[in-house]
Amino acid sequence: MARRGVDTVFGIPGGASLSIYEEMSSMDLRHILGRHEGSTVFMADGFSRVSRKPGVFLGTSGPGATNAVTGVATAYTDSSPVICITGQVATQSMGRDAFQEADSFNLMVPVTKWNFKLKHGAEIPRVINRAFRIATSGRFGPVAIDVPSDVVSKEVDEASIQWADEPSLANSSDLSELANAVSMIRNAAKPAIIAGGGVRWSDSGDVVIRLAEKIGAPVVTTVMGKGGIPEDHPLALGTTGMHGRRSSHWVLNEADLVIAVGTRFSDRTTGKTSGFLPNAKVIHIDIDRAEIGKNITGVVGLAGNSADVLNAIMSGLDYQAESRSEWVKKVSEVRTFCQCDFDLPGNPIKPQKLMSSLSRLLPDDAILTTDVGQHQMFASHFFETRGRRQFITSGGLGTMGFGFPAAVGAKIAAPERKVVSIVGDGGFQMSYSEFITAVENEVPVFTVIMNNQSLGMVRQFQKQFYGNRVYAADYRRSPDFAKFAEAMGGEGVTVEKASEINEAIARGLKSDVPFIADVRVDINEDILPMTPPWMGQEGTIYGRCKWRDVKVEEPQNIGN
Amino acid sequence: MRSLRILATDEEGTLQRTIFEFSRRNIPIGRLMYSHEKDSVTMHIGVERDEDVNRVLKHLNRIYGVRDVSILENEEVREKW
Repeated sequence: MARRGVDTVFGIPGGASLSIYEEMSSMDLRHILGRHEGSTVFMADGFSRVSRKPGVFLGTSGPGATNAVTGVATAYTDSSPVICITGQVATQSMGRDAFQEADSFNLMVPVTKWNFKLKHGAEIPRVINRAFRIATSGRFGPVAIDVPSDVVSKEVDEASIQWADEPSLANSSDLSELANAVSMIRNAAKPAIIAGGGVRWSDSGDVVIRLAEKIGAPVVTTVMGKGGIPEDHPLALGTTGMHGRRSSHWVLNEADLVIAVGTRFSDRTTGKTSGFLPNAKVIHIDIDRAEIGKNITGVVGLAGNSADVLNAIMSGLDYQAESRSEWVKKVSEVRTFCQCDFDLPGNPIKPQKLMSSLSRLLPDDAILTTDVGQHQMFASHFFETRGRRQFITSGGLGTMGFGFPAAVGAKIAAPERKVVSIVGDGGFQMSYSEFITAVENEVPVFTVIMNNQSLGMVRQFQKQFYGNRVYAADYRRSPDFAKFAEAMGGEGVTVEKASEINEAIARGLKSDVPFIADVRVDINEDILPMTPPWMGQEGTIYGRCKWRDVKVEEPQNIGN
Repeated sequence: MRSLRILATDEEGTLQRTIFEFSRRNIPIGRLMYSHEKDSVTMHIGVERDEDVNRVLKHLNRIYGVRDVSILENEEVREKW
């Protein structure tokens, strides 16, 4: 691993991995000792998402591996190249239900891109090389390696060691429909672009913007694609999907051609597919051929790295934005209409107010991680990822507990940048044992808890769709998170008034130790607008959103 | 019943990964045959519905270790997007 440039390992040792740890103790590696394997994998995942390099997790057998599964599954769903190495009982004990034995190989099969069970020490270099190749080729994804304790503790004959690296795995590209796609773009009157998580992984946001400017197309992002392009660009419309911006929905409804880049069209993006993209033909670009046509059918597919494919498309196109000036003008009007004032005053604090303040005060290269729930969707909708800001979230599996440990990994990957973890009180309590890990390793992450003493999204669904019967969603007791931070060796502040938010953010950003701002927000404020995935847009609940007053049949009047 | 023939390396995990791919896509397996020869394995998997064959085909092709997936019986089926 050291030969592959690994300098940081996130792990928790145990009986079956002690031989590996003994060897590591004499190496120049930074080891981050986590408190729970699941959270420790989230750290490796956060590291991967910022560095675009494999984050390495090292755990032990049995519960070490089973605890890690959720973290690995989270990485798998979001295409993160985590390398998960787990110890295993000795080969002669396997199959005898030995202490801390679990079939970790098969547990990992459905949540990894590939996995290995080592049989001989001589194959370790070859397997490690192959694991890194697989994790970072084509569509990224996690790879697991199961290491029986005897395999790494036995001496190996030098001559038998398999060093052979494998050639890079070729991307399975298919541009056979390129000419057709170029022709479709030429002939479109109202083209639009959807940028998904693939744009972020391939770092092709600048190419997306160049194409958008060249052809006069607005760009909307999925939740996973957020941060892939700067949202202060005049053609950027923000996120689409279940809690997305209505300007993005409007664009996708109006467009006669949609170029979808690096998105798998998840149900949270499309909602009810029968009403999705009602007027548009679709060009679907993805590095994973299996995603093309999976959820949205009848598309023109181009398989390959998104930057390569987009550059190939652009080489066949002249500058066309002027010919679509009316479309671009209308998009601009809609974009302006959707720039609502969400700096809501008063107490109790509204989540929108908190997001407004964070959006205004965080540096333009800040990394924001989220957990899962209402705060995640508030951040996705209201936080502007302008400049080099990055937005890291568990978008696919939707794993609560992800946000804070992912921030720790992100900060380790980019210590020069401010890393802010916005979490709910429910999700934070699933992994807050890692706060001491951040303190111990001097990783000054700033955590903002959007605290409504409730599982807010559960509560919102029960209110909206289960007859307003709120059950098992609200906590009767809540920790004092500021005191918790201090007890762990960090710092914290409780924020109960809107007037206290700015100072708390300033303190958090300046702090050189892990810092918690426990912001008590209005439990009754739902994340709206919302289009339930089982309903069409006619089922949208708007709340404060001023699009509630826009008649669907008269979209041309928006902004007039 | 349509039948898929999957040729793969004999690395541990290929069989499980292949079966999980059907489970993941909620496609019931109607028939399964598995044989191992030298360094490769052959699986014949039967499914009831034609559309399931097309749906799972691309996902099987992206499994590392899978060398070839072909559809047996009747005509060749082209991968459709």
